[in-house]
Amino acid sequence: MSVLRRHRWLLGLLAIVAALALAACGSSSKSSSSSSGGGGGSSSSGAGTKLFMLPKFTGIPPFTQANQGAQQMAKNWGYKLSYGGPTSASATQQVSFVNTAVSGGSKGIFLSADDPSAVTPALVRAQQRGVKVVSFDSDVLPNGRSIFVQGASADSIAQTELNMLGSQIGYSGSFAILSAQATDTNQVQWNKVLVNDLKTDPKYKNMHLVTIVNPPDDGTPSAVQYTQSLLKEHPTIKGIIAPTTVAVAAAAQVVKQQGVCSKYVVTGLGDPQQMKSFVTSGCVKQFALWSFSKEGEVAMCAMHGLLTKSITGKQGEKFTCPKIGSFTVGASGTVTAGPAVVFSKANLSAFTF
Amino acid sequence: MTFLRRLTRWETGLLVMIGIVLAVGSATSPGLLSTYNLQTIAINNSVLACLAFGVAPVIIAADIDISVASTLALCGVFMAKLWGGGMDIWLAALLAVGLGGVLGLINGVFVVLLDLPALAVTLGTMGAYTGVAFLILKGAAIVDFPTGLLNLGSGTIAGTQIELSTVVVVGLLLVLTFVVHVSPYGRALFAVGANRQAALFSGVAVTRTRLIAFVIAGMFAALAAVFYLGNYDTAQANIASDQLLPAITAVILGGVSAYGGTGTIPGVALAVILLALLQSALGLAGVSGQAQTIAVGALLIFAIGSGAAIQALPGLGRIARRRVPDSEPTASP
Repeated sequence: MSVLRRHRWLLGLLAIVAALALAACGSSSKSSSSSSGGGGGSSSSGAGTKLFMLPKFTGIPPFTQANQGAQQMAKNWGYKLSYGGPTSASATQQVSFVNTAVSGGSKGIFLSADDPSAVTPALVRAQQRGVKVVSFDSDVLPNGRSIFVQGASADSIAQTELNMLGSQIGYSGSFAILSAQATDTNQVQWNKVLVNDLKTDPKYKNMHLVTIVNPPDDGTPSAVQYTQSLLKEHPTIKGIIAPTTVAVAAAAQVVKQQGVCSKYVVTGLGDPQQMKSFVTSGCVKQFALWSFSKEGEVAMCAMHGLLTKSITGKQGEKFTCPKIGSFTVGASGTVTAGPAVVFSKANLSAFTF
Repeated sequence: MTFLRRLTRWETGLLVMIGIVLAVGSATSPGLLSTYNLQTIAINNSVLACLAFGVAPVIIAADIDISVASTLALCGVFMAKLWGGGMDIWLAALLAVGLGGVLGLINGVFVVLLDLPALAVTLGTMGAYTGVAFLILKGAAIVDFPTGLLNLGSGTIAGTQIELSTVVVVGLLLVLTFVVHVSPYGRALFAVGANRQAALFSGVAVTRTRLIAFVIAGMFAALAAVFYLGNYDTAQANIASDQLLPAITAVILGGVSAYGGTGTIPGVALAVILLALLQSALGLAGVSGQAQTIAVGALLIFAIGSGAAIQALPGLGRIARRRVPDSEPTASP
């Protein structure tokens, strides 16, 4: 059999590749004018504009509330906000969601990143197509978004955490941080600021950080497992700071189960409803958070500003949020939605999220 | 070969399925065939393509290698660590491919020289290689790779809309097709896969053939790691662990028999394209990731089932001809 006939399927394959390449070249000339996905690409801020919100992963209160806040705010301008994400922290799945959202016609994307580097190339490509990107909670690389909305500044978070722990151990003793997976932007940032505060602020000079624990994912089983081994390896620590809602609940659960609530102080960033039982039983005295709902609202206001071209994400620009107030864009496109709030038995009942 | 036979060849079926997916998919979601989406499909499936191409020779030889995703992770971590220590990224990539070959050779030594079951061995190395990757990085990640690498992963050829990674993958496809279908090694590979004993008695270098297949799988896994790092800009111990099952699915879907001895590399390429288009079309139509895996699994079962049915067709024809009372003796198919 001749070589050519034996490999006709190779020719068939090459034909397909060539066809797809031609299709790509052909559609590239008209991709800017008649954008696929219905409704021309001219006005991108009208009612019915599709937006997409992509959390680190779905199913935990902070992100559900951010979505609710954003949905509420979107009603002011008639935007259609879709919400979706991976069921467990996965950067590669986030990339899929970004790509699908853009191909499906979304003009704006909100996201909280599992891994800032992994998702940025996809966001850069999206932005090249005119899609606006607003990150919230966990940032991406600056060139992948116009604005980053944080619920509270890293400085206020670190200070609040240290003060909550310090006030319960007399500002003296060793402790550990139970964090999340090693690439979470916000975790990395907050822990860095905390370590720096420990070094530079004389108030904390007798507090000593033993280790930062990074479970391989952001799920509860890993957090529980790593808390247990942490307590076995470092039994003399005075407390645990857990800056994720999943981790602080897991740490509190372990400490309560082992009956050592009086021995270890557990604090960190937690969701009021989730932490209620630990607080009422006295196992956890204080923890903090901020309103994710407000974070979502502010993010939506920022997106509206970007879509109507009234802001571009440069430092010093201002935008207003109906019923909330006005915000100024800070360095590197960062907007802070508000201060952190400390929860304890005294004020817990006032918060329904 | 008769026209009917040609029509029912596996690859024709794949081409038909690709046509169906393109037609139905672009009808439901016009964005499926946009430049942006095609580019997205291309860059996000380079890793899958490399893994599938690499493991295909092993399956053709009637072995199996499920450690390829872990090999990818370890080679990626190795390459990142070397680069982080100051080495040029492309030299690090070259060394990573070398490491991939070594990791494949380790599999080969246990399976071929020590005659241990391939599934059990590669299950073990799958865990071992991931473990070593964890030991190297201890759960951290290395990010922010040079622009050159990122360009390979998600950039286009200057002046066109064609993805650079696609061109490289097509190049690898051509090389591997030559090795498996034209070179003497390829003939040995199919002989070993079809009947190892017969090949041995025919004087085929069975041991060397099987070893080389494992080395190929390892090296292609390392190449996949280069693409992964270029596309996702992150090296971590657990990267691409979700690519193992799709890679094996693509190989089986591509017509390579799980028993070895048959299949084509272009068929595997067609299967990768089919899977990529199908998942993109489903995603655009709003189908969740979990439901997509159901569709892929159903497609695989359908493909294997119809493959078996097609093979049974000549037999059915023989039965039908026997019913005619004064028929000529039937020729054996």
